[in-house]
Amino acid sequence: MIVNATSDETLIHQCLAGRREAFGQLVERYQHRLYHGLLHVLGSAEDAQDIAQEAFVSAFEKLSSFKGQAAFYSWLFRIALNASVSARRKTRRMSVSVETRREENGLEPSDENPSTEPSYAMDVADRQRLVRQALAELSEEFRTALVLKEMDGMSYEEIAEVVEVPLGTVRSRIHRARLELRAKLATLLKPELL
Amino acid sequence: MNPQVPEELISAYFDGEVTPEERVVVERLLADSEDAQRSLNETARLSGLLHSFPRESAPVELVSKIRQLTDQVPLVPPARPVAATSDRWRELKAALISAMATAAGILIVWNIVDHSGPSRAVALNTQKTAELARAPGPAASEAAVLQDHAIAAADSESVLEDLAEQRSPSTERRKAAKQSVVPMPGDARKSAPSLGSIPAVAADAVKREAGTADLKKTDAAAISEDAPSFAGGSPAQAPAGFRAQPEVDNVTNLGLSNEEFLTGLHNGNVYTVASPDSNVAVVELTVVDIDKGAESIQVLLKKREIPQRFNDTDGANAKAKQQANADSFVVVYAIAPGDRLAKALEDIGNQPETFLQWNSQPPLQLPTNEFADRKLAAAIDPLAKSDSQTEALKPGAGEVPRQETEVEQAEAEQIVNAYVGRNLLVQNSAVANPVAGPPDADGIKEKGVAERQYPVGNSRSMQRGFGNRAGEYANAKDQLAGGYKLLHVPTNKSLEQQNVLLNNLNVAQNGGLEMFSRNGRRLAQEDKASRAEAGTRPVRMLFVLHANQPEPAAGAVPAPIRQK
Repeated sequence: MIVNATSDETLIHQCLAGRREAFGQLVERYQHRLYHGLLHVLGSAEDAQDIAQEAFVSAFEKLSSFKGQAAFYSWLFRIALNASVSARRKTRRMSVSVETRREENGLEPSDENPSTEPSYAMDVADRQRLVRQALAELSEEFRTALVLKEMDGMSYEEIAEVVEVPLGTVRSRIHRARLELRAKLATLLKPELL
Repeated sequence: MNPQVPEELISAYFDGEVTPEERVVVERLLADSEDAQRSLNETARLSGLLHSFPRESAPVELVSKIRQLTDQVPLVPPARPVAATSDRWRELKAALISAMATAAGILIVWNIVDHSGPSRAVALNTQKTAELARAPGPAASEAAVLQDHAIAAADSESVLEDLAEQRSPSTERRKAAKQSVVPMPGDARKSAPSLGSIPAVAADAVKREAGTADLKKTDAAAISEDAPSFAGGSPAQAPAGFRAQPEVDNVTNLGLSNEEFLTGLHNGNVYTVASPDSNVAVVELTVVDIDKGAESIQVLLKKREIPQRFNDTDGANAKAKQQANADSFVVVYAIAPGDRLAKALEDIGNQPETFLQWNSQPPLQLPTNEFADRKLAAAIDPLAKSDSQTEALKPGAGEVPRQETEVEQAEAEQIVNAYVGRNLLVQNSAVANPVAGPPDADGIKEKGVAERQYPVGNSRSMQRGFGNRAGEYANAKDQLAGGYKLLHVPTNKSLEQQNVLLNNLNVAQNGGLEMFSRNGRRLAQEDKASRAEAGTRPVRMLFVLHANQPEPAAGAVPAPIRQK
């Protein structure tokens, strides 16, 4: 069993005691997770990077106000979501078409598909593109809840902390997001794939 | 659909986010309603699609940018009133007294605990432990166990820290995974987001059917590392405030998620997947079509420069293929550097059309050098070879040692046989003892899927089998070249053949689990010493390809998803 060496709480205490490198460990620990989640919530690699960066810096600034009532990551993601709302007020990058966004954001399907059969790569690429397209068409509330659940692996309780809504609302949003996504994909994918 | 049980409830059930009462309602509905089953299946498929995305890593420059920016920000310590000197002295004195009292409590508990038993997975929450230590009765003993584990973990902490210091672009993602315990859709831990709301085996089964979720599930999905975890038995035994990690998980695959399994392979921490000397890591794959799966895996292994080493000169494999029935499966036995095998597994995860899922299983232990142990070679009759054939495999006195390919071939067949034997044992026990499986989240034993994965014969005495001779065997095998062998394995064995397998299964039963749990600290230290070889040490791995089949003894398990 792999056990993490130092808890978030300890790292936060160390950081507040003057050890900046402790915060660096927190960044390394959560950068990929945060980035991956934001990528699918925001639909843009560039935005995800900007917001992740802003969130970490903001978390560093506000670290002394972190009370430990929620997990550090939940707190961090909440900061990131708030930052994304602020950023979107300034720019309206989300309004571009899904196709354009796909080309811009570098979210091409993995090129690691090892099959020698081109059809595999095409199938996977097409399907991922369609799923991404359908996901991007969901309302932000639904998309955020679903991404946090399915791609980030948060519990409903953690999602409720992040988006600051009651638990029942999280349950409802995830369900409705699934319904909508399923409906959208039903028109895009072969029935046997959904 | 029953309007009183909205689909929303099924969605929450899939996520393991229902109350026990709601779960009863949903499961009753699933047993009776095709609509409900369809809804659950559709949710599972959708989940599989969402998990099919590759995990995106943050740009490499992100950390440096953040560091640059935070370096310019002054650190603000938490607001705290400045105490007068006398107050501070009182604080210090109180803290000292408190610390001494806690230490005394821990020492007392430590001394009354029997430490002779095998250590298991760890739980780290010293604060909680201290609270429990102060509590009377069973809670105190729980605290002792936790303390035991915490100390063991602390000993290996420096090792883990050292390992975490390893830096390279290719290991960034895996390092992140190492820092987390990763719940997977097919993983019992995923089923335990909180006590009392753990979904039944049914949802787990559906999630397994959902495809590539296991491989693609993010390390972000981790039960956060700072959240205390408890792995010392059934969830019902987990103290309040601890996340349950059912013990069955450790039986299934050493408690490793797929991500952790890959990390172990990549980093050369092969002790985490199987001992490098005599144990064989086992990975089960569910494929849409067995023949296509067999073809694809060969392509993938070749791509990762793992050559096919064996020729089917006697046509036995071709014959087996002809005899294959609906329950047959294909195995690929590979000996290759861990990182290549890991890459092959990652490739497999990128082919959801062919490979619906993969899961690591308990390692099998090679018994010993078959040259040195004729009795065993005869007992574990590889793929129903006749006695005379088996006898012919053995070298006589003064005989020239056989070619290594022959050795590998015999080894492959032995390990396949051990695998078949283990499955037979599980199937038989499921019939004979329908409640022999591990407890589910509520401590209720379930049959069917559970038995299939958690053999009742998985006792420690069986696991010890050939542990003492592992080194001997390893010495003989160290020089083997890498490669893989593909075998078609019909499972329609005669009763007699089954008995042979079952009677001799104990020699191959889960040696790796024993080594892992008992010697974790020592192995971790050894691993540290040899980590320079990370990823390059040869690992023996048995890939087992099963076609997508309905689970036996379905019970509350929804009908499996059929994909064309």
